[in-house]
Amino acid sequence: MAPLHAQPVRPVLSCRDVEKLYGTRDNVTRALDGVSLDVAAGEYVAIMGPSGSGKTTLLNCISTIDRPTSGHIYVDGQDITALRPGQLSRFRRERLGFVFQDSNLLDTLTARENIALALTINRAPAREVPARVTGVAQRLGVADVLDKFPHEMSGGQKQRVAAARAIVTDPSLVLADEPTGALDSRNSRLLLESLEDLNNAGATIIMVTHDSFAASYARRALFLKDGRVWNELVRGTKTRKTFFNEIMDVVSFLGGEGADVR
Amino acid sequence: MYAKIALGNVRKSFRDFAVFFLTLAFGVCVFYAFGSITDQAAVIQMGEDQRSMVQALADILSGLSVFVVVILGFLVVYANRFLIRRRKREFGIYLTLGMDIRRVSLIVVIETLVVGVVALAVGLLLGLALSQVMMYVTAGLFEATIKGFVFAFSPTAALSTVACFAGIFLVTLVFNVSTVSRYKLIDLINADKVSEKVRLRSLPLSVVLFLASLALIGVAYKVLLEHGMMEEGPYFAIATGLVTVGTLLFFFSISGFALRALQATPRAYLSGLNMFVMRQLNSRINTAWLSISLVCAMLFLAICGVCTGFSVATGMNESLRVGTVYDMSLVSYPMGMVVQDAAPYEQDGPAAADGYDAIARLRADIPNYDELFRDAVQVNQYTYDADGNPIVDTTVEQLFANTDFTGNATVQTMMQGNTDQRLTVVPVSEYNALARMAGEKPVELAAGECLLWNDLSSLDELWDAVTAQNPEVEVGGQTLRFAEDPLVHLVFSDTAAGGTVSGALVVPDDMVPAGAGPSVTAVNLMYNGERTEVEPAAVAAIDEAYGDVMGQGSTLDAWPAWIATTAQGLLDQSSGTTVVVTYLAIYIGVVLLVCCATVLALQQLSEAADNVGRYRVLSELGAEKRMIDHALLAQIGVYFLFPLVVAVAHAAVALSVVNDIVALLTGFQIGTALVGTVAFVVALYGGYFLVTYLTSRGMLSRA
Repeated sequence: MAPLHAQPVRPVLSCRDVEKLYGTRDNVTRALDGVSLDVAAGEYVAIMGPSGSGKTTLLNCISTIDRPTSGHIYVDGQDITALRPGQLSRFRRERLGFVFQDSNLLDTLTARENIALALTINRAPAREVPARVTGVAQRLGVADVLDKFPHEMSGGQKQRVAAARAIVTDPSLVLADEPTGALDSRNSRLLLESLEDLNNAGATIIMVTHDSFAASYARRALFLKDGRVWNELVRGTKTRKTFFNEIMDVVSFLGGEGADVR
Repeated sequence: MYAKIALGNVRKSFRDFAVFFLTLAFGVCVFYAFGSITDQAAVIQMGEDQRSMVQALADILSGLSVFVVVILGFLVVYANRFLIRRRKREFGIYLTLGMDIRRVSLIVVIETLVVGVVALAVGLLLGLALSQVMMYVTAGLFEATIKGFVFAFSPTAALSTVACFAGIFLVTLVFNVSTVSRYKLIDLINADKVSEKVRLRSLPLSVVLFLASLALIGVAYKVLLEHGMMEEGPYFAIATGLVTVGTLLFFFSISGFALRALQATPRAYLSGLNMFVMRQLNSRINTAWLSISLVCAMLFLAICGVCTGFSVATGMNESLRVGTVYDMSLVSYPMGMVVQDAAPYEQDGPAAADGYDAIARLRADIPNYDELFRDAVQVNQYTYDADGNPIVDTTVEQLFANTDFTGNATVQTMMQGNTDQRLTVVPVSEYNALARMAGEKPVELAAGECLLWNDLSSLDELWDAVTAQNPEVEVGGQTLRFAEDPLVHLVFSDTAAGGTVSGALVVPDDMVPAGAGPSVTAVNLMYNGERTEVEPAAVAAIDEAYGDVMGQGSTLDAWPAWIATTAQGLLDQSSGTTVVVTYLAIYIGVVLLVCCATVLALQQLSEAADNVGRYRVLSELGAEKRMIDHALLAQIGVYFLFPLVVAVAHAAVALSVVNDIVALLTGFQIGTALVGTVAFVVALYGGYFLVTYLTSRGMLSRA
C-alpha cells in the first residue's frame, strides 16, 4: 500500500526515499529501504513495527544522530542530510526535542535545572528562563518536583520532566523513543496524556513505540516492516479504544504470533 | 577459577588498573633511585670531602624516606580505593550470582596482588634506569668523573624498596578486603544510580563558613608575618593551626558558596553550561574537599621545599662569591673568646707577647712564608682598653632601644636577642689597608667622625635605621658623629655565611687607646700565584705551624690562628652542599608534586568515565562540541587550579618569612628561586593537567 501524502497543512518533516545500509559490501543489511513520509505541523504520529523493522534507525536519522545512506530528510523545508557537523548541534538545539526510554536526565541537576539547561544551551535570555520552566512544568504536572534531583523522583515523574525538557524550547518536532518503555501502566497513561495535551496545544510529536496502547494516543500510526512503510492508520474521529483495536489488528497481522502463523 | 576471574578483570578494566599500576610503579621507581644514592656514589671517583657529603645526603634521605613512604602509601591506597569504588556494581553482580563475600574478597586480593607484583617489578626496573641517570648527574654536580660505563645496582635499596612496598601493599590489601566485606548488596546494586547528596544546603551557612575560612586564613597570615618563625611563644603553632582549619573550611564551603552565589545571579547561572559545570563541581566536592585539602597541603610543602632548597643552594653560592675575597683568612681571639664586661680579657697570652702582630708571628713560624703569600693585612677589633673598660660607651642595647625599626620580623627578633653585645672599634688605617688589598676604595675619615662596618647585607636596613636615628656615639669619653654614608661593607674575613662582622665602628687611629689588646684579629692573606696551585702548600704550612692549637684547647693559645679558612676550601665544600640541598629539594618536590597531580588526574579520569553519559545528554540537547569542551576544561581546571592557588598563597606568605631567615644566613633573596620553582611546578603540574584534560576529552568524544 502506497503512503498517503494528502496533508492539508505544510509538512514539518518530509522523508524522501531514505535508505540506510549497514555492514560491508558482501554482507549488507538494509535497515531502511526507501522510506518516504510527511508529518504536518501539529500532528502526533506513532511509528510502529516489530524489532528490526528500522523504526529506531529512522528516528536516529531524523534526529541527526545518524546519517542516511541516501535520500533526503527535510525539517521545516531544510535538508538536514546536507548539514555540516557544526550546524547539526544548532539544528538539534533549535528544532528538536527528545524524550528517551530512560529519561536521560542529568543526575547532578535538579528537575528545574534539567529543564532550564535546554534553554540555556539554546542561549535563551536568562530573565525568560524561570517563567518558561515553571510554565512547562505546570503543563506536565511536575511543578511540585522541580527542586528534586532525579534520584528523588519516580520513573513517571522523570519521564514527564524529560518531556518538559524536550518541549520547553518550542521545537518544531518532538521525538520520543519508546517513552513508556520503562514505565508501569499508570505512569504510562499519565505520560501519554501529557503528550496528548502537548499535541493539543500545538506540538508536533513523532513517537517510536512497539506498544499498541501507547500508539493509540497518536492521531496517526505508521507501520514499518523490513525498512519500508508498510501500512498506515489514521485515528480521525474514532475513539482511542477503537483506534487501539485497529492497531492491534495490524500488529498481530504484521508481527508476533500472527506473522509466525502466516 | 577465582584467579581466572581476577586476571580477566585486570585485563578488562585495564584503564582503571593502569592508574593504580602507574602510581605504584612510579613510587617504587623514585624510592629505589634515591635510596640507592650511596651505591651510585661508590662508583664515582670523588674526593673524601665529597664522599662524606654523599653519606650525609644518604642519611638525610633515609630519614626522609619514612615521610615519603607515608605519602606514597596514601597515594597507593587512594588510587586503589578509586578502583574498588568504581567496581561496586560488578561486586554486586557476583553477590547476586550467589558468590559469598569472602570469595569476592579473594578475587580482589588476587587482583591487587597481580597488579602489585608486576608494578613492583616494573618500578624496580625503571628505578634502576633512573638511578643510572642520577649517577651521571651526581658526578656532574660534583665535577667528578665515572670511568667508562658502570652499572650500579644497590641490593640494600632494592630490598628496602621491596620491604616498604610490601608493607604499603599489605595495608592496601587489608583495606580492600575490609571495604569489600562491609558492602551491602543493595548499595552495590544501586551504586550507579544514587548521586551524592548536597551536604551543605543553606546559603547563609555556606556563606558564613566561607567567610570564616577566609578570616581564619587572614588572621594566620597576619600572625605569621608579624611574628616570624623564630620568635619565642606559640605564634608559629597558632598560625599553622589557624591556616589548617581555615584551608579545610575553605575547600569544604567554597563550592556550596560559589553555587549559591552564582544562583543568586541568574544572568550568569542561566547561561550556557555554567549551571551544569557548577553542579558537576558541587556534586563531587562533598567527598573531594578532604583530598583537595590534602593536595593543597602537599603542593604547599612541595613549593616551600623546592623553593627554600634552591634558594639556600643558590644563596650559598652567591654569598660564597661575595664572601671569598681573600685566598686565606686566619681569625683568632687574642684575649680569649668568651668575654663579658664583668670578666675582662686576659692579657698575658702568646698574642700579647708578640705585641699582637700576627703577621710577624706567621713569618717567624712559616719558613717559606714569602714563597707562599704575596700580601697580607691584619685587622683588629678592639672592645676593651688596657684597664678592661669598654672603649665604646654607647651600648648596642641603647642604640636598639632608641631606634624605631619596622623591618621584617626575623631581624627584629634578632635585635632583641643580641643586645648584650658590645660595639667594637677598628682603626681606619687597618680598614683602608684591607680595602686596598681587596681592590676597594679606601675611606677618608675626618676628626670626630666614624663609620659602621657591616658585611651582612641583610642587616643593612637595620643599621641604616640605627645610624640615621642615632647620629652620634660615645667612644672613650668623646662624641663621634657617623660620617655621611655611614655604612661600609668590606668582607672582614673569608666566609660562606654571608658576613662575619656586624656593628664594628671604624674610627680614627688615635681613638684606639694605647695598650689595648684586640678582641678579634683577622689576617687576610693573598697567595703568591694561582689559588688552586698554592692552596695545598699553604694549607699544609698553616697545619704544620698551628695544627696543634687550631680549633682546640683554649682560644687564648690559638695565636694567630683559631680558625683558618681558605676560599678554595669553602668553594669545594659548597659544591657538595649544593648537591645535597638540590637533591633533597628535587626529591621532596617531585614526589609531592607528582603525588598531587596523580591524585587529581585520577579523580578526573575516573569522573570522566562517569561523565560520558552526562556529556552525551548535553550533545543530544544540542550543545556544541566547543561548548562541551569548555565545560570540561572548566571542570578539570577548577580542580587543578584551586588547590594550586591556595597553596601558592600560603607558600608566598610562609616563604616571605623563610626568606628573612635565609637572607639573614646567606644574604640571598628567595624571590629569585621562586621564578624557577614556579616554572618547575607549572611545567610538571601543568603537564598533568593537560594530559588529564586531553584524555578526558578523548574519552568523551570516543563515547
